[in-house]
Amino acid sequence: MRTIQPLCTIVLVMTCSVAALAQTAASDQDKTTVEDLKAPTAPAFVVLGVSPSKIERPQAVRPLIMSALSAVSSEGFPRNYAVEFAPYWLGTPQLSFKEYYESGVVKAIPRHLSVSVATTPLGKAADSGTAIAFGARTLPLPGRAHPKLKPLLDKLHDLQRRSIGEEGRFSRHEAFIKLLREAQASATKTTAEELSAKAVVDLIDRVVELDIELDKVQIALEAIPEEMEEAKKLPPAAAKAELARLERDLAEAKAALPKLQKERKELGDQMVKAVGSTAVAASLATERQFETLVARYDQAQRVRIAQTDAQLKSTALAIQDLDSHRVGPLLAVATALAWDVPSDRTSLTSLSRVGFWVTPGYRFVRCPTPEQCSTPIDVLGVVRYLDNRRAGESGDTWEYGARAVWQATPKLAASAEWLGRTTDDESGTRVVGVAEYEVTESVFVYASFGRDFEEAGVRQNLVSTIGLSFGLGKKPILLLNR
Amino acid sequence: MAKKQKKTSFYKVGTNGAADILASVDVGLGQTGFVTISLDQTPIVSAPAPIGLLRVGTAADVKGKLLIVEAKVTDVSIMTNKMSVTVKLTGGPADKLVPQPGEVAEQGESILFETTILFRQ
Repeated sequence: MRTIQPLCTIVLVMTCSVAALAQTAASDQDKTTVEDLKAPTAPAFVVLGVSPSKIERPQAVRPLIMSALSAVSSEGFPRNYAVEFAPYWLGTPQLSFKEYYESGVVKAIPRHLSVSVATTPLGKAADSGTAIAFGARTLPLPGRAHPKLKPLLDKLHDLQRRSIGEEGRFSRHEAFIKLLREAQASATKTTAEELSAKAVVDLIDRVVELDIELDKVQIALEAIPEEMEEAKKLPPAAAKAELARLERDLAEAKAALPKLQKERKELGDQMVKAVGSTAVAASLATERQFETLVARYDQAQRVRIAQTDAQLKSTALAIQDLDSHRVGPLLAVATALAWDVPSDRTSLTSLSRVGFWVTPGYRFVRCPTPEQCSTPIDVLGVVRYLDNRRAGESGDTWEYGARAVWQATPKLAASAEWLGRTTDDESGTRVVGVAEYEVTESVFVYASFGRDFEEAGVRQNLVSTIGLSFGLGKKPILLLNR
Repeated sequence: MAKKQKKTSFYKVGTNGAADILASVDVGLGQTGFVTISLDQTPIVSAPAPIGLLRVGTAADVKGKLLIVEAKVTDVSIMTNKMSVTVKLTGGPADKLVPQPGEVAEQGESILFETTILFRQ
């Protein structure tokens, strides 16, 4: 059905007043529409009057239990908790796509059932207590599949078949890349084996050995002068002998250092000769060839798979979207109950709010070919009952209405809406016809004419408006939803 | 790279070599998929799920061979991101179900399920 959902709009309104006292500016009209009375997806949130910023949506039993357990604090009821789940889908039902779409009333009720639970503090004080609501919504008549579904499914299956061919067990691309990788690994192994020839290994060992020797000599050269200073403090005879020994050590170290450094430096040259005597060069060339081949073909395969996956995803999302645009008879029902628990004392619990929604409808689409369908004609009925039993706010309200929407062209839509309301002390109706035309993606001209709810002594009930709406967001203003 | 899941199993075909061994493949949770079935390297069928009770061969024919079931399943459900592929085998001394559940992280994504079943006497 039609909703005006601008991200941000600037609205210019011209009110054509037949009567001099008419005061039907958009700002002071009752804003309730048929759209507002539709069965909400999460009735528990609606009956509590909350819009939770965080809603848990578990898809299995374990996450649901974990969610509930983590919400319960040691101080009592959870605060600002909101959860929404579909009981039927918590398990692993062996339900085919076809069966899902061809559900009769009895099967559709559990399959489309969603349960919502919400809590909110009763007041700002920490001990004010909690309001808890439980709600349920289902679609006894979810409607028939949109005629566009069949060609989309055919396209999806074609893409899935292609995907199996590209990356399945019998994919030649996958097998080729797998073999290339294995060949690359084998070439790397061959290079490693060549490099493990005795001459090379001996050189590697000598590097380790020489580095240790060099460390020893360099440390000795730093230590001996210190030891000489210490030796001078000994008795003269002992000092003389010790100094003589240290002088010899120093001379040996000084002589050894350049030799070791020279040999260490020459190891690089010896390594060149040792490697040159093996087949490393050839195996490295082979390794590089496979590296290039793997990179090239793996990249091409990844691109091919990514392209198919992207097409699969866009087709799947289009199929998902059609689930919200089913045609034929539609019926949504929802109910919710809320309780107040003052000071979180369960003995003081009282039923505070009751809500009930019934939303029948019918959507008609004409499709001369499955790919080319007319814009839909939607007829929608709504009934909403809200009973507020909270002290000081008590009262029940019945609201009901109907709306027909016809999108004559993709840019022009017309609707007629009738709304009725009965409360404890007043009742009234509103009948309004609206036409909207999309000038650009974000600019709309609309006109409405009809009779609004009457408020005695406050305003007359004529609705006669021509407006221009400028959307500043990219999101389309006109949406056709179930 | 697309998500892949693999599962291996076996199925006892029994001693009656003339018994027909049948296989069926179902995609659950309201999702849809395309299935290819091969016996060793011989393709048997390639069609959208469900595949109902397909004759794979006699017990004597299939013994020692590998049944390879590949199913590409895409999340087309607004109700759940979960999916499953179940291969059912009959004709042997006892029927056998080989289920393989999965879940995609984002709406509209796909999983390639591979179920490989060895036929044993």
